[in-house]
Amino acid sequence: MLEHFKEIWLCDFEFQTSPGECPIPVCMVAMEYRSKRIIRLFGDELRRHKQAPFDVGPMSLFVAFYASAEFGCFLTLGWPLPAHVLDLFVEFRALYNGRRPKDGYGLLSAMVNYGLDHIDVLEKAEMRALAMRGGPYTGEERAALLDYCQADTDALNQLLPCMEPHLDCLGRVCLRGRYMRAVAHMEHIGVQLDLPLLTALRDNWSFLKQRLVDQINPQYGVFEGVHFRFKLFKSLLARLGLSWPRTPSGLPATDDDTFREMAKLYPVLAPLYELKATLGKMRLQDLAVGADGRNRAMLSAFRASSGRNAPSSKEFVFGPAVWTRGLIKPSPGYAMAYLDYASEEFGIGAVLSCNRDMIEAYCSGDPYLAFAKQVKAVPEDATKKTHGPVRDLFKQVCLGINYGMEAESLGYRIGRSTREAKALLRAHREAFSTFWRWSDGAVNHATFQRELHTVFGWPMHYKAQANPRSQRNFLLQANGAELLRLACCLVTEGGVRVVAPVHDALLIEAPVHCFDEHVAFAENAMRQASRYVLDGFELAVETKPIRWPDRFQDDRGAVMWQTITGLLRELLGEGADAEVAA
Amino acid sequence: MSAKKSEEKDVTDFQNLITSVQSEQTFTNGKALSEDLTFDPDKFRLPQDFSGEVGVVELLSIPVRKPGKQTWFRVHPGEQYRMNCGVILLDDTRETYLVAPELYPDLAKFLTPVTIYTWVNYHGTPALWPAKLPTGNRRGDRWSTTAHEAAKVAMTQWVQLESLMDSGNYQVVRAPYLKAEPKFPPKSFRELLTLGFKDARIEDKGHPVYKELLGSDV
Repeated sequence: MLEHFKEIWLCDFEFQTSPGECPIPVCMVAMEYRSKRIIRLFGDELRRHKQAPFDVGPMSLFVAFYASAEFGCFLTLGWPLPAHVLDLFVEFRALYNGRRPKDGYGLLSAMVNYGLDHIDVLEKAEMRALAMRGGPYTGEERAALLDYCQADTDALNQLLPCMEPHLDCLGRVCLRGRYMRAVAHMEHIGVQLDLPLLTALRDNWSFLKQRLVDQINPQYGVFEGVHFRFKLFKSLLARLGLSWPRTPSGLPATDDDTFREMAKLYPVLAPLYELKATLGKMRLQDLAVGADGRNRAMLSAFRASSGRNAPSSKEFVFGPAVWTRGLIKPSPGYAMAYLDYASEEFGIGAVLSCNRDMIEAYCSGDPYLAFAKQVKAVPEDATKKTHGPVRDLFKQVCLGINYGMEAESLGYRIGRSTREAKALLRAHREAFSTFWRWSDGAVNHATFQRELHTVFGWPMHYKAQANPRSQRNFLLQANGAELLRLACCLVTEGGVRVVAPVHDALLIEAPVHCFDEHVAFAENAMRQASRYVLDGFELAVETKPIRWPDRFQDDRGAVMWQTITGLLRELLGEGADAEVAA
Repeated sequence: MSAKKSEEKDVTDFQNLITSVQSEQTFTNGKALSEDLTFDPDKFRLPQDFSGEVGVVELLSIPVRKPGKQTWFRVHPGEQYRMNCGVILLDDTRETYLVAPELYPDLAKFLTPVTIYTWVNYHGTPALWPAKLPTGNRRGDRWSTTAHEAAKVAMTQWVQLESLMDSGNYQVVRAPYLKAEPKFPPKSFRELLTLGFKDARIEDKGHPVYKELLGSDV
């Protein structure tokens, strides 16, 4: 397929990074694949160029291993990004998704996998450290860094012919490469945080942690000092009479996923979950925030087997406890919008399984209530207001089914007996039988063909003993990832500043004077992406605007946010900076 | 994003945008850039139709038993899907044998008069339920009478059958959410009987069960 291109440029950068900042290019080596022409440029030489010193137009193909890193350097240098991109990391990930190579998905592993020699790990680490150290560099160091950079370009030169015969069709390969451009844009912009407030929180965090426990723990009694005590938690469950999932050994499960799900089910435990998450895994210092107050974390595109991003839960502001999202705040003169695909997985399942009843339910605007109506659990004139609890129950059933839950786990999720959960699962099976036929067929396909794939070819390879629940879930999640990737491409290419992709949503920012125009563009682009992935079907997009001086709010973390900022205000008192104390 | 730029990059013209960029130049090898590079979703879309990969169900046999207490079931309301007849219930093996009417006189003292109902569970799996007919025994008849009442309710609603041991009768539990219509197999009652009593039909005097019950040599 490479014959379609006039030139094929293999490229690698060495760069210096620090948390939350944009990369500073140290050097670059590019090689034209056919002619073997090489361009070696060091930092000051790079900065003299206003665009890449090779053709990045539509007649050329840009090849890299994890191209968003190279594009980060392009953006720092102010260079236009290449028109067509082949990212060998993404394609290696795709080829081996589900059958993890022994040494992971890195460049060295890819080389080893194809029987190719490469620079050894120690030397690589040493040279990375030299790049990270930053200048000034001696002549010898410059030469060494350029040679090292060229070794990675040489690696691409060896890897490309080995991988080419195994690659997916060019259109799909370039579509994935195209997303890496969008990733670079999003990483480059970053999410604007309230830096004064973050600084105040960081400075007083040790004190706040203890005060948080003092404030929240009395109603639960499960902490000693700042430590969560398992025995006390067991007593709490007994005291409240709550049914709780067990570990194989029969003890209450307290892992993060379980706790999060159960906190949704029993809102009384939501502050406890937030407190546990806040104390247990979160360190505010780990949030990658630049001097400009922007949270720039590597989005780790395609790292999840569904093809979704998997950014660090510590560095990315959408990773830690939910209340930290309150730190997201547009700069003066700017506004943000959170654009969310409504009931994305339900819609995807409906369309891909060609289930008319589900499509009708989705188009009603409230698929969960429509489901309840279809099985006559509520009257035809029921609304979210009149039958809220039943509607929420059916929503939980739909979401649980998307995750392949069976009766027992669904029972826990919805707070009902296994028997009731079984009846609800059956009701879903009966109401949406063609969806289940499709889902059962997908499991059969995965079992016999050992693979599943999305609409645009993101594959998952299965071993003999695969989990049918994850197989059922794959098509919903991975096609959802496909949808959001395309949305990211369309929105960023339209010139809208996407600051973060969040599962099935985008967070954008724009100057206030053109905010509405940008939001409208992004909404249209997201609907367009939906039409591409779902063969003409439009998923609904819900938009929440956040205008300065408001900040991002997530209801799940609201109590904790109020508590923490209240404690901080109390601590800093009247002498506190007005912005922090506000 | 200026208004002009917005117009230029209108997402609705996304395909055209990519195509127009590509069509500005041609390759030195004289070959136009492959259409592969134009993002035409229909061209690159892979099929997601997995529904056809579900196997076709072919019934080979069906159970003969009353619905279990955990089973939501429906009884076929059609009169042609039930039948009054005599069966033999073997105490030791708990097997049920369908007896040919011409043998009723010989086996009269072993026969249990039943109505055989056709029922399905929620997944559409069919079964036959031989429900005893009342015999005049007051206590025993409570079971049979309530069994027939349960079958009647199950003709219009999804129910579970519960045994009340203390009072010696059945009761039904109506399903809270199951409202969908049952899926009965597209087979006649005769075909279902054949599948249900495939190896359990006493049709002549040579049948081992006939001989055993009447004390003949097997």
